Amino acid sequence: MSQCQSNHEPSDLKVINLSAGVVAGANLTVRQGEVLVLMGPSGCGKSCLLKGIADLIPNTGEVWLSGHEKNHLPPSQWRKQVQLVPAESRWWFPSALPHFAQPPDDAVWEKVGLSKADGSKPIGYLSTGQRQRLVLLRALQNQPKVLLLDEPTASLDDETTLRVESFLQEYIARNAIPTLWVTHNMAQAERVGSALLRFPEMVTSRLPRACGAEPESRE
Amino acid sequence: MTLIELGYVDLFIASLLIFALAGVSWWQKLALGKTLLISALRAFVQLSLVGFVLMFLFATESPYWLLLWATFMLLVAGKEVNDRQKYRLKGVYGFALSATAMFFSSFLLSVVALTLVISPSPWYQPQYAIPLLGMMLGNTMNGIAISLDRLSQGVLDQSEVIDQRLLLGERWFEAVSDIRREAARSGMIPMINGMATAGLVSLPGMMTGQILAGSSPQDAVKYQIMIFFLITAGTGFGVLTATWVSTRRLFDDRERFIPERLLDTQSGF
Repeated sequence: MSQCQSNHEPSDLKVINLSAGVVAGANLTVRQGEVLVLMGPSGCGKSCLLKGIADLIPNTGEVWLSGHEKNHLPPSQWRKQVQLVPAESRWWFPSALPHFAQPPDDAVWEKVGLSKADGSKPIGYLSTGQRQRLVLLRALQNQPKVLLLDEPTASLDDETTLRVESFLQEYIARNAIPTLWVTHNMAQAERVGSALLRFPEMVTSRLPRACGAEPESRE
Repeated sequence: MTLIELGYVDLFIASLLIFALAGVSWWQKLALGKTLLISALRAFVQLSLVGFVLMFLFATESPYWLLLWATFMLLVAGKEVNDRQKYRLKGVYGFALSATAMFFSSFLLSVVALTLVISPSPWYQPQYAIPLLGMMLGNTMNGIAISLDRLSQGVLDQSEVIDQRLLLGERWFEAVSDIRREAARSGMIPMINGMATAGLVSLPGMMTGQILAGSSPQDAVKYQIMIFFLITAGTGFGVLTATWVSTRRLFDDRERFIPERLLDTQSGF
């Protein structure tokens, strides 16, 4: 398992002096397959940071991925690679499936605790939790190189939370995806995170996980 | 058959109806009396002045004076379209957009109609050019104003959907395609419906005027059909221009959705 490899510099995510909304001068590096957890009270910049990295709101500073700064790529292409998954689910077709270029495999539906039939139901008939998982699947169809997850399990029960966590962890590890993960739950932070970025101070600390303490131990 | 001339006494009699309506609206507390009288007065003054301007233009037959007056008409139409928006683009953009759309909907099509269809000589003969342009401006204005209004309402209502679609890697025009299509449709439908019921319910103004002035109904009908086609085409192209340009302005160079570029004319934000 190459979950903790750190020698493939090109697809690490590097944020240099990024200012967006209330965030001023953020610097951070997330290595491939690593999950940086963002915690802190609401309204202090977690979402602004994610939106800035995805280039959805006006920002200054640099974000690098695979040897490209975001301004080197057309914005739509950048956002496909650096996929922000918002906490709120938004839909524009009556059911979920038309939002997919190709419906996900049966195995994928099952892994997140959904059935293919849920994709054809009117959006309004789905629970908030079901919609949240569908938003996740919809984002993954772009085969992103970076994931920016804004409270991806906010409206899920405990059991489904663990299920979605392990689905995401497997996906992140398998595809060596640098990930930013916003949560309000310390237990979740410890389960999924390799490092913790606290807002509003923007101080990074290591989390007690395999990838954690020392760079040397990341084999 | 010749036109029966109206004297100022005749106009005064007609104006009594307006005064009567103002009285009723005051009695019924509709709070419209003042606006009604001011608007009626404006119509009287403006039309009287335009009468003089047209007399002058017809007499000189100078293309420069004609162009000057046509430009004035276009700018006023642009301002009117812009003023009707609840949410309009901030700065000079709102007016520039409206004027551009009116240019495509009316100015350009009037020139096409004058040179290729009606072909008076010279083609800019004011007697044809001015009424045609006026009719085009007046009739396409509505559709363009409606479509722009729908568009800004739509993008504000659905700003989160637009952001979501951008996040999924859609281009700016894809992310608003549904809203833009709906806006364009609602601007064009009244004209299309108008053509479908033409003649059955109401006799269009131009035809009425020509018949009153003594043209044979057959000639009047031909002109009216041409005008319908021109107005519908003008509305369509104007609406498409307006919605496209307006949408583009709502995104910046990195295709970020910037709803703050819309000004809420009611709250001032």
